[in-house]
Amino acid sequence: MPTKGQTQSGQSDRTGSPRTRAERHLYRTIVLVLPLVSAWFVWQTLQLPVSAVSKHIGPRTVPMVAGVGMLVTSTIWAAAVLFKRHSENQATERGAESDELSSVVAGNKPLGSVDPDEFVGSWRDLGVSALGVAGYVIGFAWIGHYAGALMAIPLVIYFDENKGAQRLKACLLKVGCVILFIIALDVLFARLLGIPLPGSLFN
Amino acid sequence: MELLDHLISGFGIAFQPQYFALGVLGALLGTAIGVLPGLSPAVTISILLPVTFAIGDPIAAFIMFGGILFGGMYGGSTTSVLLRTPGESSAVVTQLDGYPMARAGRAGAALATAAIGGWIGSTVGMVGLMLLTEPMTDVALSMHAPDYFALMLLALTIVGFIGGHFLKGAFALCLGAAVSTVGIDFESGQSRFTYGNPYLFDGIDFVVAAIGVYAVSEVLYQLSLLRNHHNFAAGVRKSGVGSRHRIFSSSLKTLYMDKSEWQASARPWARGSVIGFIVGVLPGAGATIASFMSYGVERMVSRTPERFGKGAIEGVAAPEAANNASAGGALVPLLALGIPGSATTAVMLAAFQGYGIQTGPLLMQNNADLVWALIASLWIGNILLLILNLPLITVWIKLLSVPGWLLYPGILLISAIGVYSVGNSVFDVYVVFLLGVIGFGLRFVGVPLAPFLLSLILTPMIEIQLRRAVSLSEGDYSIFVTRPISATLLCLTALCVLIPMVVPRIRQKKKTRLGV
Repeated sequence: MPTKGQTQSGQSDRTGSPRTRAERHLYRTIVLVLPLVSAWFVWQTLQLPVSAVSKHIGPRTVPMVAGVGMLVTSTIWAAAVLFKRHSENQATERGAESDELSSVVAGNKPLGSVDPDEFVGSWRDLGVSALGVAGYVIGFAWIGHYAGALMAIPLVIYFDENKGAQRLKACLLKVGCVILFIIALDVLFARLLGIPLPGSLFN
Repeated sequence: MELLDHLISGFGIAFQPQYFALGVLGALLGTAIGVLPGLSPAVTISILLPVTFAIGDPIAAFIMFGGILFGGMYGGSTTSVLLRTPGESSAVVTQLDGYPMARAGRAGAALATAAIGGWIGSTVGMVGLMLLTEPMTDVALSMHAPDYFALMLLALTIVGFIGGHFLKGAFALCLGAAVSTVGIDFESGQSRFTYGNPYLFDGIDFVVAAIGVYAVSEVLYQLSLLRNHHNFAAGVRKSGVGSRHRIFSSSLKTLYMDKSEWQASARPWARGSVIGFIVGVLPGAGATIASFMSYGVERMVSRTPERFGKGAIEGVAAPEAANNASAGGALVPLLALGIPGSATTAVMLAAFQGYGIQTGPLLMQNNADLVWALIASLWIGNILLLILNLPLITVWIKLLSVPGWLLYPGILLISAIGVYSVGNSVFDVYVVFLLGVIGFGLRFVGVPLAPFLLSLILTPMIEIQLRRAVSLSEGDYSIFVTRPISATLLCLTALCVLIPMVVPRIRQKKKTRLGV
């Protein structure tokens, strides 16, 4: 049985928490997709016409260098992952760059050992967050600022630890605060900064 | 004398009430985001950038950004010492000895040495900034297109190849370069990767990319860990200010260091400041490497290295001085050469471009007021941070109890509105979230984001310089190796690529030979 903070394989992600099977699959899928994306970019670059204006450095030169660089590095990486010469665990830990704040911070938080069951929660949270974000973007772009922000309210309710009928009052209070925040942003941008948001009430 | 005159004129501007207020606001905001994990100065400046464009005063904007940059360094250390929760990556090393000191009842001394060290480091950084910027500007004026090309290439190579995973750094650089080529090629007029979409003709705005890749992906990443945040924030709330903090509250009443602690801190402050500044000037090295390097040096020169990790005050003093000094150092290549060395300075470069200010050697000539007002406001902010930070420690700790469900959707909302306000375009809002998802994927597989951002902003400049150099030489590529400056810089670039490839193999061979 894996102990807290460890899986059967003993692999962990860059937060120092265990990598679940789903996470390992996702990691591998992303790494394997990168060479395909790079190859597509190189192919697209080849479709660009050679410039008649610039004799030496045409519009293809820099994208081609970038595309070939992406293709070479991602192919080596994918091959390493595919042939297991490069364990995901090692790769992830070595790749935790100094600028990757969240990884460093999370790795040092007193939250270190996380029950593997909580990862189910994490994936569900991520799914709900992604839906909330998508709802927000679509609402904002198609209807306006208020519609977008109201789409984010289910997100607030979902993550509110006080949810439930007995805490309805507390929940409504928080939703009210969110609405006030949305109105305040509209006032700030439309009135004070002169940037009318789509669907602004104060334009 | 000339330097002093410039500085005095800078103070004259920075002390104007509106600029002074913005400097204070920036310092406080910087400290707050320094405390909060997941928010960095680069994210905050990129979110605020569109708002400051609306205000339209570059001096006001840069004074605030300077405050955010330095405040972030101060804020990171407080929670690192008290809660073992570094708000900034550069404060990670501080917890190694700061937290054991706090547990031993010396939290006050740890915070005091961190704050004073931070102040000394910032002061050294600013003196270095003042002394180095003008001579570097003079050197830069004698440089031509091939030299600039080689210099920018070197900056990119250091950022991507040194200190991290070689393949991932290189991939991030190339990806950034690829994204930067979207739009109409300025020389040939050829549209690249626009697919007939007029919104893409101007390319992907750097601010949009920075907010997407840094802020939105961070929000998604933090939301995926929200259940853990719940437990943490709830713990902080239920215990008043935080259970660990309550344990250390008695030791916080004594925010002073005794004589032996002053003596033990003095040399690490000095060494850390010098190391931090030098590392800060180098592109890509940044505050985190500076703090780790200074910690390593202290342990190396110490007569009792076994104390490190168990509450050695030198282990707090040196890294804090180093990370603050590096913030000043990082501004030198930005102001003198127009080349950013970190994600934060890359966003600041985008801010210069957004205001139509030409960066590089001419910045000091054409916008001396702005540069000296920025430097003067950094001095003011640095003193204010020292005065304000220690008494406000409990306020900063309380910030950690802000629930994630409120903080992260709030950041998302402000990011979307900020991006919209850059070009009043809903298309940018779509782009920012698409880049956010891509950024989340890159984070997930461990691809560093700073090289991506730096490549995004530097590649168009590299392309311009490359074209200029080749047209100057009428198609003769030997111009890059016949000019001494560019030849030297290209040699250094080659070394930066080769060293990370060769050194691990040599080490591996040695290990194999020794049978380890």
